[in-house]
Amino acid sequence: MKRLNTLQCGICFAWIVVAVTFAAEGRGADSAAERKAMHAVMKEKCFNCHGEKKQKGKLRLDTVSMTPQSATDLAVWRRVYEQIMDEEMPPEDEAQFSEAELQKTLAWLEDTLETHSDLNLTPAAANYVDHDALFSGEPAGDPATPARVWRLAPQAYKAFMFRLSKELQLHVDQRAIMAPWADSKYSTAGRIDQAEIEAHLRICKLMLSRMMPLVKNNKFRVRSLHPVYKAGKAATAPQIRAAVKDTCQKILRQAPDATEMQEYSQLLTNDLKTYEPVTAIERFLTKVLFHPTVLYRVETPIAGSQRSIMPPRQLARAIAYSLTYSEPDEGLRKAVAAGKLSTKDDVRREVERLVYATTPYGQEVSLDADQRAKLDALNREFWQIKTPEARKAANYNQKLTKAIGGQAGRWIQLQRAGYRSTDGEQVNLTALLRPRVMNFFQGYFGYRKSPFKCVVTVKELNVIPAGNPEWKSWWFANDTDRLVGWVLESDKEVLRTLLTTRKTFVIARYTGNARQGLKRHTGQIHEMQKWKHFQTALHHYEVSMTPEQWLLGKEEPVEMPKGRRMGILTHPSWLVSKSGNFDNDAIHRGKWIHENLLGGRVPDVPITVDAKLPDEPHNTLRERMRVTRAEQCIKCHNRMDALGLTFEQFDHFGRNRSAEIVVDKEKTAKMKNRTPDTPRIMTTKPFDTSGHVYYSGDKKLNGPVKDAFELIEKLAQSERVEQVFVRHVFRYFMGRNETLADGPTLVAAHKAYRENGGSFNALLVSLLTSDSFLYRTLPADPERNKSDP
Amino acid sequence: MFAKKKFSRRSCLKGISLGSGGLFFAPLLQKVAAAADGNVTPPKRFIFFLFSNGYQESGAIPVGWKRGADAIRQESLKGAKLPRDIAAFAPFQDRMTIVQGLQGRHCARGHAGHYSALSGVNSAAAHPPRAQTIDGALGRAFPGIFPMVGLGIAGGKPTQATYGTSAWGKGSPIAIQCRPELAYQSLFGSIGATGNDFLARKNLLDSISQDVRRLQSQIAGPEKELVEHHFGALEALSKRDGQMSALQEAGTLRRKAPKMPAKPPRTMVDVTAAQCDVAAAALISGLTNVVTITSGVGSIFGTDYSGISPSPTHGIGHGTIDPKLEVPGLEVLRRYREHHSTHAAGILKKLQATPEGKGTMLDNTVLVFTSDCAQTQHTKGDHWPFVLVGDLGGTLKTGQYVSYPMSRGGQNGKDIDEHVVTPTDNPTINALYCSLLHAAGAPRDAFNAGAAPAELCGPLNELVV
Repeated sequence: MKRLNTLQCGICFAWIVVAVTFAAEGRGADSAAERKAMHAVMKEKCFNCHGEKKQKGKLRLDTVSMTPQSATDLAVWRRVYEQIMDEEMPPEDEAQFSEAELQKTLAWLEDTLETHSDLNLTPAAANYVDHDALFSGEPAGDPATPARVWRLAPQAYKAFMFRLSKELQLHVDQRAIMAPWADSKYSTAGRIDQAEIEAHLRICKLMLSRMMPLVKNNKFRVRSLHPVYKAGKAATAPQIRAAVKDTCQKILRQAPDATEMQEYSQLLTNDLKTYEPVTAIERFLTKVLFHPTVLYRVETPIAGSQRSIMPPRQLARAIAYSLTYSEPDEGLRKAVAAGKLSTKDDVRREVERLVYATTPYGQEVSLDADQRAKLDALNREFWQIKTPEARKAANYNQKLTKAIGGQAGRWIQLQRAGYRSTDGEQVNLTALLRPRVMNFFQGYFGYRKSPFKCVVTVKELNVIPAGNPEWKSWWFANDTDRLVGWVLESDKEVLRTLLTTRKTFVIARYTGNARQGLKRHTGQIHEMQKWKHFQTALHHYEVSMTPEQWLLGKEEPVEMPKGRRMGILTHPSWLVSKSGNFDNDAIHRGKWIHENLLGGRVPDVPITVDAKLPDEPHNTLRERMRVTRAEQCIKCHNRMDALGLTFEQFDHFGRNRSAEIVVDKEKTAKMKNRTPDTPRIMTTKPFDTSGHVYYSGDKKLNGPVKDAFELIEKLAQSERVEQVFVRHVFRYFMGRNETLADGPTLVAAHKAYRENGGSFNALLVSLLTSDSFLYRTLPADPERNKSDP
Repeated sequence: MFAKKKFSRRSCLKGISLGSGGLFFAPLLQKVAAAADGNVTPPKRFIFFLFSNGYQESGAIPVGWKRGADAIRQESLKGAKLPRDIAAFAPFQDRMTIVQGLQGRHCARGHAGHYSALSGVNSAAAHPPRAQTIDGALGRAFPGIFPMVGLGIAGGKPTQATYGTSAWGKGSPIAIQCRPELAYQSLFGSIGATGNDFLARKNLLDSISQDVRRLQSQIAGPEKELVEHHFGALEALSKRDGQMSALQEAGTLRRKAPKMPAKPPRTMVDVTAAQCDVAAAALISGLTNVVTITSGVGSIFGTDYSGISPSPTHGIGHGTIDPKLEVPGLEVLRRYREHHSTHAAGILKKLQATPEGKGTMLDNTVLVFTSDCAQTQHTKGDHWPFVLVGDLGGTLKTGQYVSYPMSRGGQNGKDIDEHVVTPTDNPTINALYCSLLHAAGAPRDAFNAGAAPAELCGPLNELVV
């Protein structure tokens, strides 16, 4: 049987998907008759090996719903599609599809994958939604997110408990509050299982251990609980209702609805009859602490509606938790209370306030040019004072009042809270005010991932010439964080700048520590140790700076040499995050570019493939990667390796190199009494940085490249890359994958980004005011409930 | 003495059936009571004990014996002197098997095996499990009130419940509790509590689940599945608490619960001791049939070796000399394993002292003692030593040393172990797990054959009766 080759298929696929998608409504894409016909074809060609009697590769197809009910079903059909497209199935020695059957099967699979693309739940699956169709501008339904829950981020969970501790004066040791779960970027990913419930129960117990003595002594901020405690079984209904209402308002910041009032009152009343008052109140408070809003973002349409903007309180939480890990701030709460958070314009007002904020709500400081100049002069003067005693004697606060008048108090407050450093405004405001924006960039580029580097490889590559025995990748990740913050502050051509800038910070302050701006200069954090780190960083970045310049200068980025670095993809942090203990990881570097910049897809490694490179430390990485050129591997690896190998001018510590350091096999073999931590004898081999862009979806991008710099230049100029970036921003802030119905949202977001000179803030405001973000639906999909043939 | 203990167990179990929770719990109690009488087949029990930094060959071969051979070796352990690492198992020498020469090339690499060690499927750190692990499989096949109890040893770390070695299936990890006092709380109720914690909590969970039930009706997207899962978890916990409540009412939990240290243990040695006490009590009280104790939870960095050595675990694995003890790292590892095997043997002794049917609970138990990353850190998985103790009701061959073909390789230095290499067609660790399933009476053709050829993953004749 003659088949299309993979490339042809790949090109055709985009067209077919668009054609099928737009044709879908007209022809009833997934009719029962079609499913029945397809079932017959599969029964003949597939079920012999993947049916009731045999399940080769542990795959049984005859029981998988042909109208996918879950992401699992969809993943199976996607795998089937890939196997057929890649000519892996049916096996050569089995009955083959006729040409007509092949076309029909592929068309049905494409149709099914697209129609049910809302079930694409993992980030890797998101790129299966056709890029050109998304950005075609053609409407494909009303964008909205199905009514959902989204488990709170661990930071948000902890922030809630910290808030309770502070507001209710519980004085709980913050270190004892551990989130019961890790982060889940997508709303579909965060389960609450038995272990998580037990962990949350423990935290509840901890909080209660502080609350109950206060209740007994009538010192608890929820005053209405004390009368109930005193009355016990004799507590009256009004007393109980008052306690329920007061508790919900203080703990949940919302009044109980009618059902909650009834349930909580009933529980408390019954428990007071069964248990001692202390136990009854503890159980009531535990139930309140298990309220869904303590565990989830709950997002539904307005009661009684099938599709609507979320109710105001939910909307406030959605906005707050999109940008921060905190509950809605005072501004949002006031808007809800005043009924001013129900329209798209209301949302825009609040989102813009938060996205463009440079200070927390209510702490705004507005300086005119004269005040700004005076402040800068004062900071310069103050900054040169080297000892804490001399600084104290200089009386900064008095001079500040003279420089900026009545705003000095608020300015000092901001400094104390960490929003301003004493050298002016040199802190990462994005990380402080919009930590989820920072988290997006960290996750998108993945530069905070820190593979372990053992002492052997550090010694073998002579990584730390200054003699510091340790090497930490987070030194560089902190610098990249700071760079991202710096680029976001200017908010111009954000993606392009991040991809191409030669700027870097050198041992930037770790964001989040309110006092670090001071500590850096008062010598409280082991200057000697920092000095060694500083030397190593200079060596990595190939920049020069004296300790004096670094210690006493303002924290500003420096420029790395031309032709040596270009943007985040050549920063040590990114390179290290995509490397192993002993070598570069060209495959994952390429995979990241293919998926995150080109919007491509790479199937998961089949479980039957032993995906390891040969253990040949005497060969270069490119030589060892010959195994990925095997016939069964090359189709996927072409999408990754040819991109990732362009970065071979850097080593797995993110340093530039002139040759690849490999093990001298013969000399190492002759070493006597070598122990596992004895460095091997190394030699060098030349590296090759040539690469190729395949399957980019943009003809201008495809073709050979001589090195990473040429590749990055091309990527940075590409509109498609920009659009793919927008898709990733969408996924992160929506907590789900895009569907064709979200096309107009994406087009508008990209337009906002482009028309505002590459402004990330404009892109964010566009997304957070889109129908995809604001609307929730309760879809009735009778097709999903149909039985399979 | 034997009769006295037997009477004690029987009467205790009969006592439970007369307690206030007896009706609810009657079927299970009757079953256990009957097992104590010898009227029904007692359950099979499994203990997995994993430790970090590899299991060097010399720690798994009788003293003075030669390693390596071109063919399979099966020799009796009678009269053999066990190495210090596992000398604590000497009282059980007639019912143990040392297995050398299994390979895990397809699933082991680097510093730690994570889920690979018990699944035989390659699993990267911090990624969800790619396949079911053997303890998960056995927990499903022989469930107790707790289908499986996962206990971690995370000395010097703040870790509580975490994931890393065990899984019910792909993407479905099993929680490992690293704090003995919290494990105790889950299994036996609050330390020193006078009331029935479990009953009180059950009622509360039932009430909480109403909120989640209400939430279910408001959710439409795929997240509905999450809420259903949340609801299911609450129901499962509530059901479990109901069962536990019956045991609490009957006083069983109080009687069987181990004595915990006054202050929660934090060093590796103390945590090991406490977790082993918890494990033994969980098995003896019939709360579970499968326990996994994992030192480091699948990672070289998951625990320190506090109580034995203050040095960083990675350097120890490299053989670096401990400056305080002035011994090479591999000697520290020996002491670390010795400590673990001593406490593992303690569990076995407690099981041996507990009558069951016509013998003791140990008769129906097997302990699997191995590392989470083959024979060394930076492993290639070319050799994975195991020690099995217990014949699982006579279904496993014991009292033997089994060595699959392997040759000597690597260096012969002073401070490092001799490194052994196995041929690539040696059986895999999956074959061992498949053998356990066969011996347990839940046979499969292969266990997670995955990347390794299925013929290397089937049951091993040298082990299964």
